[in-house]
Amino acid sequence: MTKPTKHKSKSKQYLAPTRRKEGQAAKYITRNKALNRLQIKLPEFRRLCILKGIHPREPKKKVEGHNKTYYHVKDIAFLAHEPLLDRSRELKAYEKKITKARAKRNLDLVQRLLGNKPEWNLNHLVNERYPSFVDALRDLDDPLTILHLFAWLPTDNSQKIRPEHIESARKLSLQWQAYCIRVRALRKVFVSVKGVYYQAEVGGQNITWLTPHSTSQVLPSDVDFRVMLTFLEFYKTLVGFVNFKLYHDLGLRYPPLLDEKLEKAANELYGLMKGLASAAPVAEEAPKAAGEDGDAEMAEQEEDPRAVESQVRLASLHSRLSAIDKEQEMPAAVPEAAKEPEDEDMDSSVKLFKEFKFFLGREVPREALLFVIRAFGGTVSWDGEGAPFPESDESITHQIVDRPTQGHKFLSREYVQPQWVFDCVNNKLLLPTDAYVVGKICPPHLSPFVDSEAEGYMPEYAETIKRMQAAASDDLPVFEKPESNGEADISTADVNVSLEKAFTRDLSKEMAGISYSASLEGKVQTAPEEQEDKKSGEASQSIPEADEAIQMGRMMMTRKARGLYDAAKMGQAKKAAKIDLLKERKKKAKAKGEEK
Amino acid sequence: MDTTIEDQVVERQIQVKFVTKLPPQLRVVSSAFAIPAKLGRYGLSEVVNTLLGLEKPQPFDFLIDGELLRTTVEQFLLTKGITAETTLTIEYIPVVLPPEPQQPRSHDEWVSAVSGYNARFIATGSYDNHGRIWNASGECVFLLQGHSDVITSLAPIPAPGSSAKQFQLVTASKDHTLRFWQVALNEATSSTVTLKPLKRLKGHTSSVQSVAASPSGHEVCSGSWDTSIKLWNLREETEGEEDLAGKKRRLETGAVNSSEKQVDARVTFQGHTQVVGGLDWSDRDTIYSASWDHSLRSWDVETAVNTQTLTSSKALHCLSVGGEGNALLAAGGADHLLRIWDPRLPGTVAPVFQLSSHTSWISACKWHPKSSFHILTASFDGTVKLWDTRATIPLITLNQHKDKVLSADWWKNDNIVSGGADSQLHIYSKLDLSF
Repeated sequence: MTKPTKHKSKSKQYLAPTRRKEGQAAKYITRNKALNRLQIKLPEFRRLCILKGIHPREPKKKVEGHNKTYYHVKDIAFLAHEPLLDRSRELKAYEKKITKARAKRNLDLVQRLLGNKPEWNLNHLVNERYPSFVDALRDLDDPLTILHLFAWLPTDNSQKIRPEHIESARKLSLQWQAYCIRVRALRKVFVSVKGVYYQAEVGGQNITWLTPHSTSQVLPSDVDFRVMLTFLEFYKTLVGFVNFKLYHDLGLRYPPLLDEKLEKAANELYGLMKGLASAAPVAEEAPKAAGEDGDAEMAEQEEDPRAVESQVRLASLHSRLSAIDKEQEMPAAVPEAAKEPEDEDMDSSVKLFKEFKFFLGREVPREALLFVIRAFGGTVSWDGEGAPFPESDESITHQIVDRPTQGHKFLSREYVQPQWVFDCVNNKLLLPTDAYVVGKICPPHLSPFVDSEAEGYMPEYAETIKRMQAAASDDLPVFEKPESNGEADISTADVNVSLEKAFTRDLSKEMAGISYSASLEGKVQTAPEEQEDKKSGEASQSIPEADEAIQMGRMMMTRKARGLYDAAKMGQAKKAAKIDLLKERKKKAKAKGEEK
Repeated sequence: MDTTIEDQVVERQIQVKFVTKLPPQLRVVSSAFAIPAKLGRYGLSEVVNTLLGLEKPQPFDFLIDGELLRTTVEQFLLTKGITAETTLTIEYIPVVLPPEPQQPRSHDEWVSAVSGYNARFIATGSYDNHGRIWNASGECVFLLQGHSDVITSLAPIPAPGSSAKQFQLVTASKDHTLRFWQVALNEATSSTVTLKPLKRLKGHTSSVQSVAASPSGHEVCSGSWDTSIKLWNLREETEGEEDLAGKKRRLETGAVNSSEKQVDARVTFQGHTQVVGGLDWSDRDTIYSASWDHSLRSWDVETAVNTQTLTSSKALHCLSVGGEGNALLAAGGADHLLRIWDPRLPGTVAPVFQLSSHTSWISACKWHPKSSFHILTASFDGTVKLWDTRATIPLITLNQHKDKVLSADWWKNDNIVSGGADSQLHIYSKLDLSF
C-alpha cells in the first residue's frame, strides 16, 4: 500500500516547473515581463498603454514582489495584437534606412525614402475605444481640457512641444467652441483660479472642460510632457472625429471653410445657412425657416459693409499673428449665421443676450467673454484690430470694463465688470447691473457646479438670485416669443400624416362633385376631437418613504454593508456640522456689522 | 353658394388675386378680392369654380410663393411669416387626379425591375430569371431568356435613331453578369417569342444590383455587391476585338452559349464600401451612384475619379437624377425618407428636400422625364407614391400592390408602371400632370 503513495509523492516532487495555468500568477504579469513579451522599450510601452487606454492592475496576491507594477495578461495580449506595434517598428526601420542612406551619401535613395514614409495614425483606436458616438461625447471632458491647455502653451524645443501641436490644438478647440456657439450648447461658466470652467450640453451629454486664463503660461518642470503629448496625440484624433460628426450632422462642411479670408468665409456660410434653411422643410418648419431667411438676409446686408471693412483692415495688418486673426474670424463668422434657423425653437435662456450689443475693453479677458456672449446670442466688439464696430457705436448697450476710470463715458450704455456676464449666464437671468458697476466690489461669484440646495448651505447671494428668478418667471417672460411654435421635428411626421389624410379625403369628395360648402354642412366637427386626442394628462405619483423601512433595511444588512452605510451617515453628519459652522459665522459677522 | 361662404367668415379676411397659366377659358378675373383666411385648398377650389362658372366643377391646386397650399391660407401665411395685409397672389393649377389602375399583368415570380422607356412596350425583369416585354394591350410579346439567376435591374439603352424599329436593353442579374438584348419590334406578334441575349457582360465578382445606360447609348455602367462600378462598352466598332477575345475564351472554356459575345469591363470605379444600389447616368460626363454604405457619389466618366460625395444617415437603395435643371439627386433607402440633394449648392451637404410619408424602406424612385417637380417612389410598405416637390405630402398614393413594391417607372409620360413582390405588374393610366 505504501509503495504507490510513495511513487505519487515522488512524481509530484519531480514536476517540471511549467507555466502556471490558473490563479493570480497566471492572470497578471509584471511590467518587465510584459516588455519582454512585446519586445518594446519602456517609453514605447507607456505610450502604447496611454493610446490603448490600458492601466496597471492591483492583483490580490503580488506573486513576483510588492514593489512591482502588474498588468493583466489579457491586456498585454490585447497590446500584442495592436497594428501600431508593427507601425512603430516600420517607422524605426525606415528611420534607420534614412540615416544609413545619408551616411552613404546616397541622396537619391534618401529622396525616395522621404517620399514614402509609413503612415501613422490613431483613427482605428478612436473607433475601438468609442464604439458609439455617445461614448465619445461622454469622455470628451479630458480631451477638451488638454486641447484648450495646449492651445495656450508656448512652444518649447526642449520639451518637444512643436508649433504644429499648438496650432492643431488651437484649431480643434476653436472648432469646438464655434460649434457650441452655433447650436447654443453652452450652459455654465465658472471663473476660478485654475482657469475658466465651461459646461456645454451636446447630444444630451453634459461636457465640462477647463481652459487656462489667457496669460502667458510657464511650463512646470515636474510635468512629463512626453506623457502629455501622447495624450494630446490621441485626443486630437478623437476631437477631430467628434467635431467632424457634429458639423456633419448640422450639414456643415468640415473642416469649416473659415480661416482663409473673412469675406469669403462669410459668403460661404451665408450660402450654407441658406441651404440649411431650405433643407429643413418637414411640413410646418419649412415655411417658417424660409420666412426667417428673409430677415436673415436683411441682417446680412446690414453686416456686409462692416465685414468688407474689417476685411480691408485685416488685409492691411499682415504682420499680426495669423493665429490671433483666425481666432477672431472664426467665432465671428459662425454665430452670425447661427442666429437664423433655430433661434425660435430654443429655450429663451440661451438667447439671453440676444438684444444686446457688447463692447469689450482692452483689459478684460477677451477670449472667454467673446465665447460666452456669442454663445448666448449677443453681438460683441472689442478694442483692437478687426473689430466689427467701434467703441463710439451708439447702439452698444453694455461695455465691459475692468479698470476704475474711464476716458469717455457714454450715457447710453452700461459699464459693467466681466463677472456680470458670467453670473447672468449661470443664473439664466439678467441680473441688475448696479452691483457690478465699475469700481465696486462685485457680489461673490458663485459656482454653478455646486447645487447649493443639495449641499444644504445656501449663500446669501444665491438666495437673492433665487428670489429674482422667481420674480422673473412670474413676470411676463421678456425674452420669450409670444407665439408658440411647439411642433418639434418628431411631431411633424404626425402632422404630415393627418394633412395627407385630409388632402386625399377632400380630393375624393371634390371629385365626387361635393363642393366645399356642401361638405361643411354634412361634416361632423373632427378638429376638436383630434385636439382632445393630443391632450393627455400626466399624473405624477409620489411614493413616500417610510422610516421603518430604513430601520428594517439597516438590520437586514450584512456587517460590511452596515459599516459602509454608517460611514456614509457619518460623512453626512460632518457636512451638516460644517454648514452649521458656516451659518454661525454668518450670524456673528452680521451681528458685528450691526454693532458698528 | 356665396352666402354659405359668407356665413363661415369669422374674423380674418385676406385680399387675394388668382392667376394661372391655364388656357383662357379657365382664367378668372385678375382683380383682387377678399376671401376668408380659413379656407384651404378645397375651399379655394370652390371659389375658383364659382368664379369660372363651369358646369362640371374641376378641382384645382393652389400655389403660393411656389409652394402648394396644403393647410389653410391663414396657417400658411403664419408659418411662412407673410403679412396678411397685402394682396396675396395665388396661382392655380389643376389637381393631379389619381390615375386609373389597369388590369395587372401576372408574372411567375417577383417583379424586380420595370422600365417604361419605350412608348409602345414595358420591359420587366423578374425573379424567375427571365425578362419580359409587354405590349400596350397587356400581352407578353417577348421572353428574354439567358440569365441563370434572378434579374435585379434593367436599363433601356437610349437609341435616338432607331428607336422605332428596335429596342435595346441591358439586364443585371445575381448570376454576376449583365446581358444585352436587342428586340426587333416589328417582330411583335401575338404569341410570345423567346429571345437569346446578344452580349454577355462579365466581370463582376458578385451579384449585380444596378445598371444604367449612358445618354449616348454606347455604354452602360453597373453597380454590384462587390462594391465596384464597372463601365461596359457596347459600341459596334470595338466588337471585332471583343469578338476575338470572346472566341478565344470560348475556345478555352468551352463556351456556354455560342450566339452571345462576351464583353469585358472597360473601367472599374472603386470607392464604395457596400453594395451599389442605384446608378444614374443621365448626364454624359457624370455617373451618380447611391450605395448601402450611406453615400451618394458622383464620378467623372473620363477620368474615373470620384468628384463629390454626399452622405445620408442610412443605406441608400435607389437614385434618380432629374427635377429642376436636371440636377437634383433624389435617393431613398432604409429610413423611409426620400431625400433630394442639390449638388450645385456650395458649402452644404444637407438635402434640400426630405419627403416623408412612406412607412417602410424605399425601393425605387424616379423623376418624371419632363416635369421638374414630380417624382415617383416605391416602397416596401406596398405603396407607390407620387410627389410634388412643392408640397411636403404626396400627391397620390397608389396601393394596388398586396406586397412590397420593388420597382416603379413612368410610361409614356402619363402612365405609372410598378412591379412588386406580389408578382404583379401594375399599370396606372391617364395621369394628368400639369407642368
